[in-house]
Amino acid sequence: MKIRVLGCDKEISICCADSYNNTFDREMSGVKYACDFEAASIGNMLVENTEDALCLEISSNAKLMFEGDCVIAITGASGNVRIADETLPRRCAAQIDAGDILEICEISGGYLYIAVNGTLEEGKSSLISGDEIELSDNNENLYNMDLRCLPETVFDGSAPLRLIPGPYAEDFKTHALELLYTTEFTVKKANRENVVFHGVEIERAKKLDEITYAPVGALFIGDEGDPYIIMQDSCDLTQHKCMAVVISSDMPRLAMLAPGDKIRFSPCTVEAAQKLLVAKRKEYINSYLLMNSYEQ
Amino acid sequence: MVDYKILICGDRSVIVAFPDEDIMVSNERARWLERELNKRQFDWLECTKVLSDSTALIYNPAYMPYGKLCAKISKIIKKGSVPLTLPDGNEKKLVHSLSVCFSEKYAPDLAQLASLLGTDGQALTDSLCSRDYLVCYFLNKGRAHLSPTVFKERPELSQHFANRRIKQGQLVFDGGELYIAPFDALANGAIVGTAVVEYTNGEGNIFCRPGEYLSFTSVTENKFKKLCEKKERLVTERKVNIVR
Repeated sequence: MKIRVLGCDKEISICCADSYNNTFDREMSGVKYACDFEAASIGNMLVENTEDALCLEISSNAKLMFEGDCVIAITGASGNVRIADETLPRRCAAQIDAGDILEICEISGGYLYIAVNGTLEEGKSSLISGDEIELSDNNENLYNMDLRCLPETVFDGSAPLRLIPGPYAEDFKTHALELLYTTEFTVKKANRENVVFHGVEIERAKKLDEITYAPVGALFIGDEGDPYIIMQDSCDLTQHKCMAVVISSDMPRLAMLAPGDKIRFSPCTVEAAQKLLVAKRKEYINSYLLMNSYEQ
Repeated sequence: MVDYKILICGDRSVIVAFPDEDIMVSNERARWLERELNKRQFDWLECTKVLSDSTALIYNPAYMPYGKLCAKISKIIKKGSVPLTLPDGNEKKLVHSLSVCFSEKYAPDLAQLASLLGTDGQALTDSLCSRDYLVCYFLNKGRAHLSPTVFKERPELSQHFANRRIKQGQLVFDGGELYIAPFDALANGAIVGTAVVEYTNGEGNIFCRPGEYLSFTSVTENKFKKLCEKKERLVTERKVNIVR
């Protein structure tokens, strides 16, 4: 069966939910990775796909038509997703009938994910109005449908984004680090390449002589002294010095930021960040086991 | 004792840097660490990547928290035989022979570069074909960085070769280093040859790995065209020498 894009304001990305950045050379693999990889992998779990299955990443109004019966799940940014007059619940598996038209609008910053049970055609990285994508190995229904629902994640908008000091944090002046952790920044730009902030001018550290690695979530200081954090479509090799890295557990919040949003940063130790990450993974695995238990 | 630093790079990755005055020695150590890590097949190790003077690794903190990871890496380095200097040249090396066309059509900047270096095109071609190049590491899109070449660093030369339309497989000297272009691009650098080269699927790298060697064999335009026509067969026909 096919999923057809009847309309979209911005292109729809076809993404793989890389589980917490476990790959190098993202930009050269030919695969797009989900900016909010947690939301994408939860969507895949809800529809019984493998965690890294392809799903649709949507950041603007869109209209999709499903040619056949299937099961989908909506995760990520909040938005109004409906079929005719019926609003679809978020973070729940939902059955779609052949010919249904899914309308997505009012996305409030960040990325909304549609995971579809089955396998989306490989080789396409994005879709625009008029495009279609093949879906295979899909089911019309899944067992344990009543268990395929997760509570909404509530982000505390006023909480700072936690950062682990970067590999070259010591090369920045103390004053620069103080400014980073005491200033309220405004999001200037947010896309799949980077999130740029504006607040105070922070002094850069001298460039490295050699190329080094920078993971998704690495924070750098731009030419004009504005901090920016690299996202999935950015190259993971650089000569600039990484000042800090967003903890994995806060990456979904980073992905949700939109221009105009206010944000603060706070330092976090690697040990504390890893404890949070491991706890989150356990929660994910428990949910997976519950949903996919045949004895239910 | 070899100097090394483990740099925290978020909660999932670290960079193990080997500072040394000689970047080639650093690179030798970075490649050694990658080999040591990969041969142990640790379940906590997701992937590794060699950079110029460091090895980056992504790990799973559920199996290996940061503190234990540092202890593990330190143990491997302290107990292992980290290269202290560059190999003496007597070690076994895997050399992939690449056919390169140095004609005017396929090496449009060779003559000008030769003139700027105070030599002629043929001498420069001979020089390029006279040695084996160590593949140090790969940059984005599979750009292979080769060991220092017959050229000395001449950053000022790049201004003579600005905004070149470089095609995949072309051999480019950018004033600092010699590399094989992994994709078509507009960049600064002298195009000094075109190689018959395949790229591995998915990763974008040319067929070899860091630590292996490339050598260039000069071919005529006719031979080059014929080789390009039967490129698919080259994967099996490519000449690989293991030399001591």
